[in-house]
Parts: sequence; structure tokens; C-alpha cells
Amino acid sequence: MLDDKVIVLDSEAQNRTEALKLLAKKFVDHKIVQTSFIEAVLKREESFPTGLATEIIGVAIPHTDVQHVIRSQIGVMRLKAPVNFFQMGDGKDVPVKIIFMLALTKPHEQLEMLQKLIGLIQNKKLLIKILNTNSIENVISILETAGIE
Amino acid sequence: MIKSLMVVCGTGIATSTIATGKIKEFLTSEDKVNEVKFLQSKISDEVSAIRNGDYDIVVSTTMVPHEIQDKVINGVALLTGVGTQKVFDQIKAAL
Repeated sequence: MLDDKVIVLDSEAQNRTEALKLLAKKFVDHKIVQTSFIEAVLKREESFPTGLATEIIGVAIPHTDVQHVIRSQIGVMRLKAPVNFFQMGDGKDVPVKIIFMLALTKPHEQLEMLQKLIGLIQNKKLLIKILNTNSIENVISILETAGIE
Repeated sequence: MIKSLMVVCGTGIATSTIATGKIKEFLTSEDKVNEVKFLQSKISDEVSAIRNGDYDIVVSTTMVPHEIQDKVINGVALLTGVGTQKVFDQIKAAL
């Protein structure tokens, strides 16, 4: 899920649309998704927001329909300054510091991995490690620690 | 009598998968997982079925239209980890 190392640290994106476009564009560059993924993920985020207020920071897990996806992969973007997302379920503002973008093809086969991602989001210590590291390799090893690989 | 449990999200692929997994874990620990038939879908495909009462239990991780709100258990807590037990209690009560 992390083979392509689509990880961006300290992006200076000014808002969620800019952040999502930047990250989705990288997925396109790596041929993880079709070009149509970019618009689809933006549209999906407006209709069905993916912000989640965890105990310490806001995160978002943007994704979209399988037909835009070529192969499964997770991308990570840490923002220099948080950008506002809407919270899943209730639409409240959530200042998001880390985005985990998901390209998914077969949900049932990926259940375990998705559960681990949520485990990571609920794990304060690991999130703090991601906030504090300066290396992409470290982010990957933190995700691997959480069982995401 | 086996109950149908529909889990919906925006795409029917990511968060509904996670929520389904969490609910399965819980019902397994309660020895009730065989009493439930799990279904998963996207909300846009299910509004009328939910309105018609086609499923015994519905859990959603996304916003649902107001008209069906009282038929749906809000499952976002299964993702944030805050308030998880309340969701499990609601599901258990509906079995």
C-alpha cells in the first residue's frame, strides 16, 4: 500500500481543495489512478466529507469510487498549517494536519489494512511521531509499525 | 431469525468497510455474529430502501438525508474511537 512513497511533508497548501489536488496529482503521476480521480475525489469530499477530529489533531481520509483507481495505494500529506475540512457524519469544521489519501480497489480484501489505518488515527503516540519526523522513510516505518504496508 | 445489518458510507468502499469490521469484532465477542447478515453499500443507492424499512439495522458513517435519520445509527464513533460503546449498545439493542 506504500510502495510508491507518495508522502508529502509540510505542504504549504492554503485550503483543502489545493491540498487534495496536489496529493491526487501525485497519484496520477505514479499511475496509481486515472486522471479522473482528481475531480472525483474533490467532488466526493464536498458531498461526503472525510475529516475526523481525533483526540489530538484533525485528519482526513479522502477517497473515491473504485472505477478511478488502477491499483491500491495510500498517500500521506502533512500540512505546514492546518486546512479546514468538514467532519464526516456531522459536517462540523475540522482543522486537518494530516491527510491519508486512499486509492482502493477491493474493499473486502483491504479490511485489515483499513482497520489498521483507523487504529493509527486513534493512536496518539504514532500520530505525534508523524507530526515530528523530518523524513519520508520515517513516516513509512511508522505506518509499517501500525501494520500498514 | 437472522437480522440484516446494512452499513453505508459515501462510497460503500472505505469507511463502511472499517465500520463493518469493528461491528463484526464486537458481535463476535458477544457471540452474536451468526445472528446477523452483513451488507455494505453507498448511501446514495440505499435511501429509498432504508426509508422502506428493508433492513433491520442501518449504520452510517456519513450524513444521511433528514427523512431517514431516525432509522439510522451514526457510526462515525467507530472511526474516531470516541463513543464507540454507545454505537455497539444501539446495535445490540436492535438485535
